[in-house]
Amino acid sequence: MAAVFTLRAMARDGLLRVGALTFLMTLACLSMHERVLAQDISLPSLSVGEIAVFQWHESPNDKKALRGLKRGLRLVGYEKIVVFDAKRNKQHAEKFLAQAEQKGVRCVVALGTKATQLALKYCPNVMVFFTAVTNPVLAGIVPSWQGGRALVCGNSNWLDRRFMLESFRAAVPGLKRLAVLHTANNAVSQAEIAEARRALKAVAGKKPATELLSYEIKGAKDFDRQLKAACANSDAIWVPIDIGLYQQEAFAKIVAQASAAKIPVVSSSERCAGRGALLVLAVDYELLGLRAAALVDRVLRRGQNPAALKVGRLTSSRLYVDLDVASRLGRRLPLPVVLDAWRVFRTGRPR
Amino acid sequence: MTRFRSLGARFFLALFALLVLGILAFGLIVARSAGDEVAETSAKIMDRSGREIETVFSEIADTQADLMDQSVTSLSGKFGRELADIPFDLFEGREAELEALLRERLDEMRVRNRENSRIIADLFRENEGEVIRGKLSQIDEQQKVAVAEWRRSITRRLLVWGGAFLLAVSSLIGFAFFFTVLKPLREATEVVESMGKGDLGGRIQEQGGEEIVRLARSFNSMADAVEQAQQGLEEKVEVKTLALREALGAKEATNARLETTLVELETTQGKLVESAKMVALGTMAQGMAHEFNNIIGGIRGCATELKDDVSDHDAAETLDVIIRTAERAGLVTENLLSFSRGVDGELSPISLREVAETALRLVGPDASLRGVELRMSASNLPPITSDARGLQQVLLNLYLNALQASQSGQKIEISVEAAPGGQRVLVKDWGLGIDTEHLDRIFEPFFTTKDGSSAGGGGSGLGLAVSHGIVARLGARIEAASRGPGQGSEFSVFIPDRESL
Repeated sequence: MAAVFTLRAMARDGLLRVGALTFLMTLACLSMHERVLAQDISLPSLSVGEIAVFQWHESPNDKKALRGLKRGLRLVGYEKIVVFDAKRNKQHAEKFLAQAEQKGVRCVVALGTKATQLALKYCPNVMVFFTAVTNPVLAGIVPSWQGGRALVCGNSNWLDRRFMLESFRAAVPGLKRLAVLHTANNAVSQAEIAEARRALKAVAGKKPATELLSYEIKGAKDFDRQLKAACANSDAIWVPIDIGLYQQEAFAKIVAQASAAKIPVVSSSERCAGRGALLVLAVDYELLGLRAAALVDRVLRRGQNPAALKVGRLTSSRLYVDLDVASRLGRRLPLPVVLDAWRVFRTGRPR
Repeated sequence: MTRFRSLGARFFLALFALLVLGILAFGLIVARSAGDEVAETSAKIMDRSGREIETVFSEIADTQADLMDQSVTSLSGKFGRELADIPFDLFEGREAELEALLRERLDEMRVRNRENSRIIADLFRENEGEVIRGKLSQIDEQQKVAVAEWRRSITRRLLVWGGAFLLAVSSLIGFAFFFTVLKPLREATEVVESMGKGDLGGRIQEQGGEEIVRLARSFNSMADAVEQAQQGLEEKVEVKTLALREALGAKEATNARLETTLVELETTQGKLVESAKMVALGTMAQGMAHEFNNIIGGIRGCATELKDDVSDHDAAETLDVIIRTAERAGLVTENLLSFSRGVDGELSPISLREVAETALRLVGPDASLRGVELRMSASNLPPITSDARGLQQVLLNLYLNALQASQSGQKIEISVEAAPGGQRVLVKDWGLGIDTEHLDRIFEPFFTTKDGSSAGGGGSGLGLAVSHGIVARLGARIEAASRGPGQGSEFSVFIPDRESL
């Protein structure tokens, strides 16, 4: 709006007057922005010895992980916990993390990949624990799954992708082409897809039994096109952990389109469970949080070297199956898949 | 029983009785066996159904066992992995908290499992329901097949028994119909037919149904009446016939008399006509013969005298011819005179053989000239009373006719033989013969079949007429026969004994 006004003024009053006007308007905008920031930011006050818990935004997974983390920390006596949600605001995150570095907190526990990357960037001298990071190696958090970075250790929500793909195939017999949707520049979904490709190679050897077709969505306008193509060319659609996809409206669209094409939607995001996905395979984030607390205890209380600690991974997983979706698609889920399910969705009552 | 004399009543009674019998038979045979079959089929179906249900439940039990096994395996696996993921080091010295955590997670797992189990149970219930419904549907289908088979069996049996029953019923009805209706009707028909042929004594037996008895009674009454009427008619006819026969006899006698009279009249008329003809001819012939005889006598006398004076042989022969021709002409005129005057020869016992030989000698020279052979055969016959001169003239005429009809080299046979009631002379030649149509007229005066080209020249037509007249006067009979032209002819002269005349 300012740009439009400026252009009009330049045309009307001449360049000098426009320049002055532009300067004044820029000042006004900055002032307004600062004011807005001052109003929104309610940074928690940190002090020495406290544990700062940082999350980029409050996702359901993060919430669960935070619950487990808090429980574990309190269990071992860490009561001074300060939780900060940056709400996707980089300045807020920076400010909070800078404060944590400055105030000398005992450690920063970052929830999720983005939060961990920011924590490492702005708190280079503070012990950082991470949890619910899909692939910390790929995200540049640790050099390897064996750890090996000073002042950094944590665990991953990593799923055995081979197991995941086998579960998909078990739920969708004859699965030859699996389309995976993901938004551009999403580190989590990219990491998942890379893991899956690796697992496919490992499973099938020369020629994978299931072909993974990647459909990258580069914007809101690209969504429908990619979704349509994915539905037309595949036997099932995989929705990875991608906030641009598992959110309410986007996921509903994916499910509707896939249902019209009579193909199932499978996901590795727990958010998709019970919302139209035939099968969801996820991890227990609360347990991840609890295991992160155990890491904190090992390093801070027991004095273990964080660089020597492997990136923690869960062996258990949570499988969700939806029999209503199967019924709508005219499919029947194999009994072992149903029996392995952590939760079975079925609203239709028997007669 | 008097109420069931009517055929209709008997028929309906029989039909009712057969219907009752049929129903009873059906009830006893078909329905009873059908009931047994139903029981047997039901038992089979029940047994099969029981086995099917047992199989289904066994399969369900197996499935449930498998399910339980898989469920336990899955659950223990899940629980094991959950335990592996729990950071036990966090709970060192805090067993109560660990216990609480484990209980909490176990509770959550239990809740989840319960919910899942309910859903899976519902799912299985539906699936098993489907299986059971499928099995029940199969049993239902089998039952339908069994029922259809049973129906077919019943239908078959019904058809067999029904057919047999209908056959029996129709046979019985047929027998009853035959004895109560057909047989009396046939007998009645025979009686009617015999009546039609004239035997009015037959009567229909009054037996069978009431209708037949009434019919027989009525018919017999009618037959009695007809018989009586017939007898009356016969008597009348007999009387009338007798009267007619008498009238017919009288008429026939009258007719016979009339016929005889007519024949006599015709004969008389013929004789009268012939007599008148003969009289006229005789008168005319007498005049002509007298004049011709005088002329011919003069010619013969002159020729004879001239012959004595002629030394030329050819001239003498010519004169001989003239003389013979004159003699023949004299003979003709003599015949004509004989015909016109009639010959009244003397009757005396004569030898017919000698008469025939004498006449034969007269024509002998002529036959030699003509080259015709004369053969004569004669039996030893007794003398017969007749006119020798008249007979000789008759035979001479017959010999001359035969000679004139014969060709050189042919023969003439003359036989004298006995015949019933007299004697007969047969003259047979193989010459020209006579047309059949001329046979009736050859005895008429001046009728001749000879033309000028014949050997002796044309005939006068008086020889046979004169002969016929002589024979008729002697009470004899002359007949001619011929086998046709060119086949010769045969004349017979029959002379009766005078006693037989």
